[in-house]
Amino acid sequence: MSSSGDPTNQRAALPDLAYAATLAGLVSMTPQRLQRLLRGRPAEQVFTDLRTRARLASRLMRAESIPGHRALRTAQILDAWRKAAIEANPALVWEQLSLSGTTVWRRGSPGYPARLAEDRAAPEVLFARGSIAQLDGPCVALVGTRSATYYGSSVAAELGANLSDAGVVVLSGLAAGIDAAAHEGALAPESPTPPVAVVGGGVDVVYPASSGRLWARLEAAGGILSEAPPGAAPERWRFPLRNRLIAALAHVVVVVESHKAGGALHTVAAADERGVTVLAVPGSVRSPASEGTNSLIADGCGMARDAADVLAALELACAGDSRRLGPGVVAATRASAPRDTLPPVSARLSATEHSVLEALEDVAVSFELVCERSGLELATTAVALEHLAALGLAVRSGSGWERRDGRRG
Amino acid sequence: MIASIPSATLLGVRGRPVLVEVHVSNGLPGFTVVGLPDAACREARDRVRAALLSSGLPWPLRRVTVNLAPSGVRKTGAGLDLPIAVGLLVATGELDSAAVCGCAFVGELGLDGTIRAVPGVLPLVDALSSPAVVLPPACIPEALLVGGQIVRTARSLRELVDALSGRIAWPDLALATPVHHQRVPAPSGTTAAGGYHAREPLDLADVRGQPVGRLAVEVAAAGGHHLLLSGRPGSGKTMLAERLPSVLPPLDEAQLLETCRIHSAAALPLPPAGERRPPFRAPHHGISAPALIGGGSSWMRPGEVSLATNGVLFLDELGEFPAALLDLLRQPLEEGVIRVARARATVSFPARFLLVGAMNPCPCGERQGVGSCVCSAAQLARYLRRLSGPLLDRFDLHVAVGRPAVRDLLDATPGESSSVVAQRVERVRRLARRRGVTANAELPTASLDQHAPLTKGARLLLERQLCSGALSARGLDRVRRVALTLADLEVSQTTVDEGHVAMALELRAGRTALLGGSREP
Repeated sequence: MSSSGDPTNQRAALPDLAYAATLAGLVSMTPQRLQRLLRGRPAEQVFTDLRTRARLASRLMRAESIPGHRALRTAQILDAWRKAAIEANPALVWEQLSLSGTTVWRRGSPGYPARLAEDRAAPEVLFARGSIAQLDGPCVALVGTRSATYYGSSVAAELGANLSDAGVVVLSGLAAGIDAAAHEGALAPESPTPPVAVVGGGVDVVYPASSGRLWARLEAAGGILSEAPPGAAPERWRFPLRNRLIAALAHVVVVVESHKAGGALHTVAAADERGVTVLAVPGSVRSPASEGTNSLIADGCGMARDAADVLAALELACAGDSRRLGPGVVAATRASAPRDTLPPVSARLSATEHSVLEALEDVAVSFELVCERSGLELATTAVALEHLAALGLAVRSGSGWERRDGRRG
Repeated sequence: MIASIPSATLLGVRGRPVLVEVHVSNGLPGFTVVGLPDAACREARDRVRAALLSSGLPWPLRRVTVNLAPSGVRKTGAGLDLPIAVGLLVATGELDSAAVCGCAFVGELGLDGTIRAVPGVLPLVDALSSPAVVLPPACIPEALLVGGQIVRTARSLRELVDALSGRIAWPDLALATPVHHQRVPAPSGTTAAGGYHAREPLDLADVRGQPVGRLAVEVAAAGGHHLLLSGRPGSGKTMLAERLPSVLPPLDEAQLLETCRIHSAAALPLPPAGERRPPFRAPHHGISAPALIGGGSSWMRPGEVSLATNGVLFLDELGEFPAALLDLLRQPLEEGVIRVARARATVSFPARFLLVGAMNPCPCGERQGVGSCVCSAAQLARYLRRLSGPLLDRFDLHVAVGRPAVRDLLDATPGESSSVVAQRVERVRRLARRRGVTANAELPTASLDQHAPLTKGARLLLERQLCSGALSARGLDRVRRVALTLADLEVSQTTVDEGHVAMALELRAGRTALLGGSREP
């Protein structure tokens, strides 16, 4: 769709998408306003209306009154749009999009994710880098807090890897913490189904800056999707909208870790509105990062202990869906049915290491507390902890030590 | 018609000899001071004139030229009032030149002829080579710390003239009883510094629980390792840091003299007689750069880093200090001196201190790995960005201090007292001196293998840390030095074993807690 000949020479042949993308990039444009403005009308017509017959556009907008704005403000916005539209050059926008390898879809155009098109709040225009065709398959969103614990990050990575192995598209927001861990897990080189990220800002605006490398890997191996035009800053208001997209695209939403009133709960609310299954990963009752997920479970939300739980929920969720689960997914669901038991704690552990291991929990325990619980000297405890860390049974986390599941070496 | 009187002026923490030449000749009555005097020095003219007249001495109605040699060095302060007055009296024949021969003068004059104290007498006297010096009464105790010269004093210009011409005996030095509160008022803003040690000695026995925090303080004192304490408000970071001087070894003669010299140059009270505790400086985070590292517009005053020499520089709320200010500390931490360059002069101040920082793990203070912190990721990043990597690298010890357990707080049995800990610290410092350094933290990398041999277990543990990327090459040396100090603290240890290394790693674990280094799966 991005390649439609040389746009500079064929101004008349410029596709409708070029105008839609230009409109999306106008100053103070939001997805809601774009939706009102386009409403299935050809973008080229709206664009010329805005440029030349501002009064018509203005009447349209006033009649539909943008909620939350007084008429004066609406007039100001329209004025700003008109000025921006006069300066904008759709041909140039189109050329830049194709040069940067960014694909554009309009709602209803072929290639627009089918599941999203059915949604009430579906964005008029979508931008993507990489490939997002896999979104037609079964799709699970892994979401959670940005300040994840070691436990949360490792569970997210594990779920990401196992789901991706089972042929499920892992969907997340490419934020720090759980999102990043889930993508890392799903990006394992041999994974058959590349993950997709839905981001708040433009697809070319790396945010947070620390995830630049992950961003590039995802662009190469999977896909990055956004309703914000390229170059759009990741402003605050964009993230709840982004969460709505994640909920609309996924068959199942799994909350890995969430603080009380965390941002991931926006996604849960959006999923609930759409009747999308929500699962939560249980955590320690002492960990603030699991407060949100634990209360979801208390409220009757399903539990995701491992990929098998998620796959079972996915099978149910997809039962009524026109698209069936691939054979790989079904096989994986069956195969992982018998749950692993606790890892056999290595018989090599000494008595002191045993007592130190018993002093640890799934949340960080301060070194001093470990000493106190095990009743050992500081140096003895430190040595035992380092040994346990070498065996993969303990890990330094935050300001203390956390018990670690030995299976994941 | 011409007189030359030796005196001295202060440049940084060093005195520089100055020859005050006074020339009186016929011509229009006038008084000129040449030879790079600063404002206070140029005002000497009016003070000297009033002091002479109120002492009943004649003011020459002739042309007077005062030259302060060497002319290229900037002269600061009012300490040259007295030599100018004496030079004038000699040049006008009021005093016999033989009477002032071999005698140097330092002092400020009051309009009534009183001789007033000046800052930095200790380094000034150091710089003077004349066999005798005449000083303001309040400066006598400082001058006596140096020794080697005949020290004389007089309360007023009249008394001085009488004593010089032999009409009366020199006033008794002991009679000129100086008291500290009579000293010159210190430059603005230093009142908080109060006495040398504002408070009674604090004892480590007051700290309840906190075994790791206590150990960190002990290791910092024993090995001279810089210490960073991070933790939530109320966890006892400041309490621990303030007790560090109590376990440091007492100052020796040379150190005491150096500390006195710096305090004298800064016009701060000297340690009282018999006080051997190392200095403890805790500047507020609103401090300016010149106040921290030294300098100033006219007077090169030593900053907090120099005042903390031989002692502790405690930066509470390290995260609140501007980043640019903290990076100024890198040179003194590396070289033990701070060079302050100004247009007129470049001055080296000594700056060998033990740096202790305390900070909250985040702006709201509640972040402890995972906690009830309300800071956004951006706020946190901005907060942590103030601490540059190179500065954080200087801290061998980085401990995340947890709130003490309730049981420990209510437990009435006191912890180990500072005096017991100080004995162990003293022994470790002795071992370090045998290795040719004053503290283990200064051991060069090359000699670590010789002085801190590792056992097999310790080597394995370090290898694992290096392979997993938890430790860098620079971090490795730091861990080894701390492990050596830990080994030294045990009486019977000659090698660094696994326990020492594991504990040394634990004593820098606060770094990962603060920067969240181990969050990645």
